[in-house]
Amino acid sequence: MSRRLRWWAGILIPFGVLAVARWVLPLPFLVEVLIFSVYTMACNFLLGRVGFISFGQPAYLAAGAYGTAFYLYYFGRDPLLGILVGLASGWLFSAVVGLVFVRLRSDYFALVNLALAVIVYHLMQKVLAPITKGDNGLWFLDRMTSTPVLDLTRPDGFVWFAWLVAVAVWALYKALDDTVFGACCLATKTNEDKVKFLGYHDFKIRWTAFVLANTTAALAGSLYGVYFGFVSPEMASAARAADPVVVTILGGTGTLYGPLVGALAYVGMKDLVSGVVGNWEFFVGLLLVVIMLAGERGIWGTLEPWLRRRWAWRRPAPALQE
Amino acid sequence: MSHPDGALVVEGLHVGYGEAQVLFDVHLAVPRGQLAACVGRNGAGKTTLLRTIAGFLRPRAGSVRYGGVDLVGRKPYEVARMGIRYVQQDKRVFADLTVRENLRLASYATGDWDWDVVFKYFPRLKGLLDRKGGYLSGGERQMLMIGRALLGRPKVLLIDEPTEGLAPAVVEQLGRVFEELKGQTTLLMVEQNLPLVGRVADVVYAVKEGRVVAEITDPDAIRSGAVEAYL
Repeated sequence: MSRRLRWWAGILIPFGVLAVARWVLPLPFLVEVLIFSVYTMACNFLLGRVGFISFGQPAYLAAGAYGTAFYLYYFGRDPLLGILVGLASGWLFSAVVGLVFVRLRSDYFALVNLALAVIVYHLMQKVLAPITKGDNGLWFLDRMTSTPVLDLTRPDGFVWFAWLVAVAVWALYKALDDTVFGACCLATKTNEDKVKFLGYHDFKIRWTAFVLANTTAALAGSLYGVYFGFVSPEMASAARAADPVVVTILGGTGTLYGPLVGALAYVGMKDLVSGVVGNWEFFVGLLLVVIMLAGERGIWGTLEPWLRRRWAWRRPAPALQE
Repeated sequence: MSHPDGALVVEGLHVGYGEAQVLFDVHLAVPRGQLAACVGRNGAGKTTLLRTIAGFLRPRAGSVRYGGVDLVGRKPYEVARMGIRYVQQDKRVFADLTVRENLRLASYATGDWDWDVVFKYFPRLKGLLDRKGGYLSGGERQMLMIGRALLGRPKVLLIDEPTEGLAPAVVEQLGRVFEELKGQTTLLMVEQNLPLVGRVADVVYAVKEGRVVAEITDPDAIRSGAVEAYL
């Protein structure tokens, strides 16, 4: 198989399986897995590629969601345009915040992001209540107009749109891995000083990575907004700040399939276990402890070497070269 | 002090960390295309000197000039872009990146994609292109670090203890590389291996307790290891 074909197969096979699952799994479950995987890809890139652990992802999720909601509630009716507005607002928000935040590292970075989530929550719930409607949130489901080809106002149209977005975002991050920028991000994580000695502006690298990841989180927020036709301050709640980090670790930090596997496991447990017992978070916590004790590599991080070995065993040994 | 042909000139350098002063009134000059070695005991301030030249530390007083341009106050990446490369002592490459990716990073930063120069000095790296930096031996890591610094044809190489902890065969190879690099690049090397210094250096500075206590330029004195008397 040629390299290019293998590259695309790496994307189309897992997402092809998800597409087929459209006829097997409940639609709301599939939509949530797709959107959550986009949300987690941002966190996975920050944590696995740049070394930033952020407990403020809900703030960026809310930036995208409210950007979309403001447009669809006050100005327009086109959900596609609403998503673009959400994307732009997420980019602007993270670009400005990033100018300050990426100067910090490790625990300070994690905590300042958590503080940002608290601030955004408070802004949306109290300070900006006249326009955000506070805890009541903004409802715009019946304001959205149908879109051509894939109707985003209908769940069966939206699921394909979310699928396409997830494939595009996933392809983007997969392509980034092979670029000099991707290597720069990983190098920054390993040894920031050496990146400077090579002649790179380390701040620009960190800022670009930060903005890219958080714009992705905002895109996930926009998708949530359009899917539910509703946005409330709960989206920025600090109580949900650890979710993307947990799912990233659950799936396998820094691995390409990790966000998808993690989102499947997390949403699956939430939906399946919560149907049987109330405290599904207990089981997620338990699974996380087991995964950490098993080697800190997450579900995909543990499966991948095993699958690689199996694959290598089936393939003929390469000819020796001088 | 006047050095009309000096490529890299350090004058009256005072450097410290917080309240602790490490370098006191350091003067040195490395003529273009020559190799200067700084020798001294641990804690003498040799690494601090290189880090200051590379832009990582801001001196309290003094100047660092390269080709007449003052480097003080410039960011490390700006110094690197001027063609002054720093090879750190720690021998840590980007462990998660392959040798190829490590070289690509340097190529992209310098615009020099001709890796033949790297393979000319370190042919071993050619067979390790797809190996991750974390799986290289100490000698291979050092080769990669120096090889990476050679891309873009650097004007000055600052090399911190390149042979520390390496096998004699690798030290011998690095010695040959330094001899070949002289004439094309200006080198300032911190090194405790006095036989190697005696073999490759054109000028030797003895650094003791943050001060340059001797400047030896006589080739016979350098070869005979006369600097040892000052340490």
